[in-house]
Amino acid sequence: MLFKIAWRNIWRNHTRSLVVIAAVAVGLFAGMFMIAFFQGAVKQEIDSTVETQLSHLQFHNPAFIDDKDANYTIYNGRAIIDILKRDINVKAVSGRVITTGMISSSSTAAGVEIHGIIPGDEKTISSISQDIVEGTYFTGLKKNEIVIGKKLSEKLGVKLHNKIVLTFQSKSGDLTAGSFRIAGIFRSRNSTFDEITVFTQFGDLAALLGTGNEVHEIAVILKDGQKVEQVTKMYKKAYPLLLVQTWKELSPQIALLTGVMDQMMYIIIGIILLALMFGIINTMLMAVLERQREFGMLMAIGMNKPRVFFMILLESVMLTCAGIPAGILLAIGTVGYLSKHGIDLSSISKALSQFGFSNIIYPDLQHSVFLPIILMTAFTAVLSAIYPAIKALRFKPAEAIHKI
Amino acid sequence: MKTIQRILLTALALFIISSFAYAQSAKEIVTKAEDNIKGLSSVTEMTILIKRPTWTRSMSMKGWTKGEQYSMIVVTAPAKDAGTVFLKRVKEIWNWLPNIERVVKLPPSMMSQSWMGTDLTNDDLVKASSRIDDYNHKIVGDSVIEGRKCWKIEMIPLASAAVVWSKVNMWIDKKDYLELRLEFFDEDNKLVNVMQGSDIRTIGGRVMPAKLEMIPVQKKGQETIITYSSAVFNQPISVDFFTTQNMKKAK
Amino acid sequence: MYFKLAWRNMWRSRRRTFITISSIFFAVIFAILMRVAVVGLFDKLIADTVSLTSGYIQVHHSGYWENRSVDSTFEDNPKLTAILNHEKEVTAWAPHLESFALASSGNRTKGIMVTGIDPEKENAVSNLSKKIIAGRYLTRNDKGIILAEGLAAYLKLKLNDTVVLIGQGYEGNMASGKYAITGIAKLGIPEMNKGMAWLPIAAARDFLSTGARYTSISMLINNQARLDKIKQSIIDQTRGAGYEIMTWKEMIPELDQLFQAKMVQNEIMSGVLYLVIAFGIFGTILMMLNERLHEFGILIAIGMKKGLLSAVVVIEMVLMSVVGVVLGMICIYPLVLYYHIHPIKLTGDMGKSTELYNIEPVIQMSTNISNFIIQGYVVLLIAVLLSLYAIFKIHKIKVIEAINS
Repeated sequence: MLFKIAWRNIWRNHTRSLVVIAAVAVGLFAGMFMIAFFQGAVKQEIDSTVETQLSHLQFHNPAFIDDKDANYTIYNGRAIIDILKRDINVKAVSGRVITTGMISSSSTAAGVEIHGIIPGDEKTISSISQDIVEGTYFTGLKKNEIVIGKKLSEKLGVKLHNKIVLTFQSKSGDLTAGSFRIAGIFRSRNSTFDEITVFTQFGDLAALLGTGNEVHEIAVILKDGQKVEQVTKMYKKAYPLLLVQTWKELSPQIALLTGVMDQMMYIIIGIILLALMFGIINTMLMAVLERQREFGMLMAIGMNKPRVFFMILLESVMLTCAGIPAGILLAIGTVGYLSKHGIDLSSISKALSQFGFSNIIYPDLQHSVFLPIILMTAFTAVLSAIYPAIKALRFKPAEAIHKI
Repeated sequence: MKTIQRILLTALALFIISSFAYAQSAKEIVTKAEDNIKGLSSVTEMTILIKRPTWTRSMSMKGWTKGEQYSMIVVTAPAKDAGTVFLKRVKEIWNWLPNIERVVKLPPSMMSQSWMGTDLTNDDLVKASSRIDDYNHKIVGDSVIEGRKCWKIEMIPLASAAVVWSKVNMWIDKKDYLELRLEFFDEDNKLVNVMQGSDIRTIGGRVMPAKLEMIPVQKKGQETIITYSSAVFNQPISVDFFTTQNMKKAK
Repeated sequence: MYFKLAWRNMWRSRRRTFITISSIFFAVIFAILMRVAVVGLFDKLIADTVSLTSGYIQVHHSGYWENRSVDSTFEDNPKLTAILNHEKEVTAWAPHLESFALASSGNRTKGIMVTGIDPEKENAVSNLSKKIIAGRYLTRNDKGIILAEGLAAYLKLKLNDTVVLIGQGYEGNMASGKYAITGIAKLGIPEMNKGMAWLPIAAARDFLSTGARYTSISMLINNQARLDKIKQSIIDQTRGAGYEIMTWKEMIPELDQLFQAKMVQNEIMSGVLYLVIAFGIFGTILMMLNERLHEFGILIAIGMKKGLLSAVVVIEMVLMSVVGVVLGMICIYPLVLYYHIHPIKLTGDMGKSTELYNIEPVIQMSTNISNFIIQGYVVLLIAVLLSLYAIFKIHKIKVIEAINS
């Protein structure tokens, strides 16, 4: 019976009901959008680091990390690469031969880290192939092609197709040198990376180093980035003598920054829910004030206080139930659209656009967040109705009837 | 007709043979000039003057070489640096630093650093032997330098050579096969480095330029000048002389 | 006259006025809280990262940053130090004499950066003494050296062992020296932890034969928002002396890019918050108008012009909004100040590893007044704009219906 009364009350005052429904819908939408946005932002950050440099996980010979001596190759590296290629979790694998040395042009020289890669494999792992600003990423047709960063090319005073000389220590400890031609110039978000990393073809570098088919580094990209911890654990167990690390272990500073931002997200969502709560409380309070006469009347004709209380609460519950689907639709619609087209941050901030890199966030709504957010919003909405409901009970019927 | 044909054929044949001979000759000339410098062994005394836009520095040194692969140089002046020794064994470079009493081996990362603060790099000292093998040589003209007739030889590095230059011009004196001038060009055909020999005298029984200037053309006001004051050639020196232990005793 | 009417209306229903003011009050509070938390977080992250590396602003010899050569140094100039000391917004400054060198022990050699420091001043800027994990920090007259932990490990050296440094000194001089290890420091960033060493400036000058010269002076400032103004002030005061003055944004552009991106993300999220706040305020306004429909109906019926009524109602709203905003700003300030002095510690396993990176995982709310004012202004704007709806609603009133509501 209470139910029927509450229902009718809702329909009696369209405006009031609509406002509460809208507030709940907006609150829900806000919560969902925020989370989707955050997920998208974090994903973008991780992706740009993972895609350019780190990949999801990497394998090394433990001695290689401290002293990049050509001798510290991964034992049985090729076999491991084959195993990885067949792992269903793995999207792409690339084996690299790496050494440190000098790059010289006719005017200067600089210290660099030289990566010998197989372009076909490397393209699937690293986004550098898409960051080429001049030339190409390796035609594979010529010997001794090299791809260097824009910052480095400026430092060395060289252009596309110029010749440079790489000098480094071979496996046997001898000083070796080779001349290479610049096939392509890249520009990534990290200008330091551009300055100290150069890419050559696997065969060319291995020939000079004398390392044959061996690799120093195996980089892996997974189909699902969230699984990185468990996959890494599995391989750590399988190869206890090797150093198997997630990108977080490889670059703890980035993991830290993203971790801090994650925590911020919870706090911000908390603030939004609080704002929602107060907004609803205020609206309901005002509504209760407006309905003083009505409540006074009800209590005068015999409705007892608990009943009035529950009636108001029921109304809130029903309104919330109406607001939730609206909010969900709004959220799905907005996030759905934006997750395809993305939000271009650079168009919002001039300071950001002058770096010249695209900063597009694709909000990402996981199904797992639906239920918690809906529950939180519903809970908040109903909770916010309690205080006004209590206030309503304070009215003295006689006073209320006389209220104008 | 036959006669004309014969004459033409012969002329063509001679032309081909002579140009062939000419190309070989260029390489031979360079080889002779290089051998001149390497000698078999030498003991020299020299002064190095380093000029920069804002300062100048002078060092005196004594050096021993055996072939192209072994050399040891000790600084004799100024007092602050006296006793510092530089040792090259094939492709390794070592330093002896008396003020800290340590022998240090130069890692590859220091290879492109300047040698003793000059316009030469450590790299230059280690790799000089490639001038014969890593280039194609061609005589492109004649010149006169320091009153001496010279061949101007154009050297283009082989595609596989680990050389940063696109072209090196060398002037070699016709009489004594002295390398009197070298010009190093980058791929835009810009002149980057010049090495100029002058003050040609007889030292230790050989005719050689007593003064060598290394000039980085693009850097204004900068150059390195090596002046030889004395030299003794082909005195037998054993390979065992060039050891890290000997560095500490070098005088 | 409008004002008097508005004022009286407000006091007629205390409850209604109170509810309206409180909706704005809370809106401002949340808007401010979110902003100071996020801005404070970013400011602290920047401060932590920057203090260990570049400082906020650096002074170099003109052209130094391009090729970092030890020949590009500047003299120790009392006029410059006087300017820096005098500049109130510079809270600390530290001179450096820095150069690439080879560190060697036995047959192990590694290329490193060696920095000559003034130990006290350096500590005020980068807190280096807190990173010492073995031995002790340097004093000005020490002859010893501090090695980064990874470097010491690579060279297989411990406290009191000797390490040799060689390199290229000033004006072509050869630089060489041997030093006893006084302390070992641990830095969070692996590249830095494997390749840095610190000497007292006197020893560094000796090593590089530079005499009284520096490669850079870095400084901390107290108000990040005034970064460019402070830089300009120093440029103006040192004009003609041949210095280049750079901010961390110029020296570490990647970090700037990261934070700019974060700021934009924050703007978007603030937008969402404003949306929620706006709905809350709107709901209150709507209900208020609904509640007073009867009152409005009677007023119009007895002859009040709709325009006048609208104006009065809007003025009421503006007054209440201003009160709400101002009260909100004042009331939340003590809380923000408290969390500025006692930042909120973020939990999770991040907590353990972060001291290393010199990044404290805390939310230190920013007490910068501009944050308060900006948010107050925005909320006020939202409230006033929404209150204009009243004009619309009043205009639509059908008098008979209104009186009977």
